Amino acid sequence: MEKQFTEINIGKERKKYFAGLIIAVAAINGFVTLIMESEVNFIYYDLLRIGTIASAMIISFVVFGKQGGGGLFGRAYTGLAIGLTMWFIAESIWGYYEIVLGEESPFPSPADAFWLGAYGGLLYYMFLLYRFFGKGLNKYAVAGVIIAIAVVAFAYLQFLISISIPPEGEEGNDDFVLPLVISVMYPVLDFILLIPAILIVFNSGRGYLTSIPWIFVSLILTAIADILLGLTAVTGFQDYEAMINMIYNSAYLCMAAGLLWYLRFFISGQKQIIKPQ
Amino acid sequence: MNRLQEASDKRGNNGNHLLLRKALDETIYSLGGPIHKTITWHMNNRGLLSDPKRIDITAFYKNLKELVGPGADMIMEDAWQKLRKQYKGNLDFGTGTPVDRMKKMISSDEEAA
Repeated sequence: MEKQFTEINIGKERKKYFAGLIIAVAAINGFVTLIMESEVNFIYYDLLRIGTIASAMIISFVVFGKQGGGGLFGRAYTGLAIGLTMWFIAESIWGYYEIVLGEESPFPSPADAFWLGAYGGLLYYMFLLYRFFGKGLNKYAVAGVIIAIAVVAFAYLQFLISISIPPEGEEGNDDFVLPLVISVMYPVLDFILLIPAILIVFNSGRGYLTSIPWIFVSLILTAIADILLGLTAVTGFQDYEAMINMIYNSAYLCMAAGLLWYLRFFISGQKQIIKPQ
Repeated sequence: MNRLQEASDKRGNNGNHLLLRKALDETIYSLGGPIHKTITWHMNNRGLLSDPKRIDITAFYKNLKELVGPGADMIMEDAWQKLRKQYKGNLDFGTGTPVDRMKKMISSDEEAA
């Protein structure tokens, strides 16, 4: 008689997924390390980021195909898919400007509209699911994270704005306004996203189906990369370019792995018997 | 006759069990169809939904927590709010967590039987 269900050892599965993610991150970022001295390294950096975000976006489409847009999770994951699609478009536009048009670090560009627009979907995802994953959080932990992020945000933004405004006597030129507004919007939105993401990661690890907080880890990594990118943009420290690209690649792969876990175990529809580790 | 009416008519017998099961089922369904399928499969597999007229709320909550971690508390809270709405706020089972109140609600069934 045909077996009606599959038995899964959740501890083993978690280790397998984690090992897979580490191998993928090591392979992609190992390649970044190899080509960082190359004069055309930006081509590979751009292609790798487009490839890694594409992997996450495609899995988010499969998730949407499987669960649709209904219910709390359906709505949240639709928001996430929209956000990831906008990131993919933004990365592709950036790549097009750099690789095809030969314009180094195009900023501001139409890509920024998509990067910033993506926050709509990502914030929607985060705030819908915060009630589910953030349930039972200690109020002191919540207050602590909010205060810590607010302090860092204030210091960072003050530094960013002070260094971006032209010195006295050059006020006549308003060219700095749009780049400054865009530069400030990224960290502000990142810090808003960081608070629930950090709290959810603190609260994770429980629940056989929900113990993998990689999507939230991914959003934290992206925020860190954005903040570092903002700093390097205003200070001109190009040495960190490879490191920032590695963080983005790790974030996108982490997102793909989290979505795969969700697809395989939370909405699989397969009859799986979970054996505790 | 819908399930809710049927359950209400049976109050004092297993009515509260049925109302509770319906509220929990609707709450889990509101997370999304496939998630409802997954959770129901696991709960059935553990024998927690085998008796259609009764529910062991302690075991249900414990297993739900094992499956979805902190989200289990949101599900219990939302299910309790659904029940309160059905009773138009006239649901008084003292203070405590939604699980405590659900337990009291079920024990009132047993006392009436």
